[in-house]
Amino acid sequence: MSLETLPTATTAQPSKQSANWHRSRSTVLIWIGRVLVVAVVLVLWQAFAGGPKSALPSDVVSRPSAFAGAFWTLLKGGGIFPPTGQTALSALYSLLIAIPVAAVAAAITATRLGRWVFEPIVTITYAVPKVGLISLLVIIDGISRTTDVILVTSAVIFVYYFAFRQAADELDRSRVIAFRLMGANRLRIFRSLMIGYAIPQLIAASRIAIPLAFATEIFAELRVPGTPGLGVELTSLIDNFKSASSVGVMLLILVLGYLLDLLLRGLLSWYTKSIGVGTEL
Amino acid sequence: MHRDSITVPAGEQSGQASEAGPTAISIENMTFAFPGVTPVLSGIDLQIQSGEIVVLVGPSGCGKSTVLNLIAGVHQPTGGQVTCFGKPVKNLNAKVAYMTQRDTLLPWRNVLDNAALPLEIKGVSRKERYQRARTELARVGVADAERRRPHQLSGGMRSRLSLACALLSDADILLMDEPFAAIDALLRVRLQQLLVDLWRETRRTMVYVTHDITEAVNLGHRVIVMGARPGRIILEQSIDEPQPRRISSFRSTPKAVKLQKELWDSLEREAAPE
Repeated sequence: MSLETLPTATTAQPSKQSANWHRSRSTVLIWIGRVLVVAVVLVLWQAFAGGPKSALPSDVVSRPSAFAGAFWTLLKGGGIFPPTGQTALSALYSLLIAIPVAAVAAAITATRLGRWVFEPIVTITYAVPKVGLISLLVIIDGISRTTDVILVTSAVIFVYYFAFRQAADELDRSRVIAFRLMGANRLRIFRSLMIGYAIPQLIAASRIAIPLAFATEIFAELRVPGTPGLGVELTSLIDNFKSASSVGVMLLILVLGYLLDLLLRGLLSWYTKSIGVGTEL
Repeated sequence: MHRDSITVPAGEQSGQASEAGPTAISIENMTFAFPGVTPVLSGIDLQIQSGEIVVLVGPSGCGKSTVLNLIAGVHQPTGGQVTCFGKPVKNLNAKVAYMTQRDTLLPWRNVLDNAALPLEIKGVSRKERYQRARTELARVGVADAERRRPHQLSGGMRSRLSLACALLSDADILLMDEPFAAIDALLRVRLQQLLVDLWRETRRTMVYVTHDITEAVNLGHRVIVMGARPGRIILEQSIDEPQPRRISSFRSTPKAVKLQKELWDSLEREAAPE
């Protein structure tokens, strides 16, 4: 065994175990606290909402038990899944367009000339309220999935653009020089270096961009039913005064969003650990 | 200011660079300054023969790393010129591989993929590049770690991997800027030995920057001592000991100790207040 491969820090094991135990205990306590807060709110809500002495009638403010029942019915019947899939599909199309376009745009504006020419354009278009584009897009393409996808893309592309730009700005100059000395051209540096650098930022940006894509898509469907998704379903339920069911749909969106965020957080944690980020980049 | 110059023609240098070919690097009356700042380098003249190991030593801020950057074409001299195998260095110099103290390994690639990167960039087929990378990893002693990521390696193993990458780049000249500075003394001697053993097999031209006079004497065919403000050459000292050396025994011989003292004295004279 060489000196370089000798095992180290064997005496640190007990303190590491103790730290892990303390961390686990803190996490459990935090979760108990969260559940208690939610439980208190729900109990108070259940007790006072929609009752005979309530200020608001039950068809305006349903009780949590009514929401839970509606949520369960939506899940059990399975009718909510096709619209969820349609909304997810439109959001996915938008992400698939936004990510490569944002990467290329960031690579262009990372150069001196590109920054000089395009950065003002990016700054101005970023400031445009994206939901205001709906009317314009309907005039151009009518009520279609394409309209929804363009709208969602216009909202999420900036999240990815700024993530890629940050990665480009933080690119280690010595690594760029090493690549160029090896004969790499700009495309190779972009593919093999900048994309690699951007992956943690890309995952982190997705934690913002995916819920934003869902929210924008549902908003677009509420205004322009181009995709038979959750927005259209919500409109239908609200039009029929099924407020508990409409909240049930929102609960479903909330649960999906939370699960997705957990997944992305786990992915980010796994990836950064696997490449030793914090000590490497 | 004086300049003790003990320039020895490469072909007469005690066995080590006797098979030296043409001039690999020629630096003529080179000056360099960043805009609006005191000149970094002044009047540098240096000829480096093909297959020679030249070590630059000097105090911090004397411009040793800048000399490497100028040879690599990262900067352009403000006066004089640098030629590499007879051609002026106008852009990044494709004849060199650059190894720095803070390595440039990619954290998301494993050891094998990092080693194969220079060949991948050159368009070598997947099978061939992995075959060559494995051979080189075995040569530098990290073949067992080919599936590990850089952050899972010790400092010494990272240096070995960086060395493999530099060798696989097929560059004629290796520029090394304190590559072993962050490594403990024992391991550093082993890496120095690895370097001279690799030199025996490849006969690459190496320009090595260090603060460590012992390391300079251990490795170099020739040691260039630089003075500061602005950086200039104050001494050229050939090391009259054939390569490849057994560094663990050579470093404490009276000859090595005498050379270290001479170099140390020259640096002290330079640092003494006038």
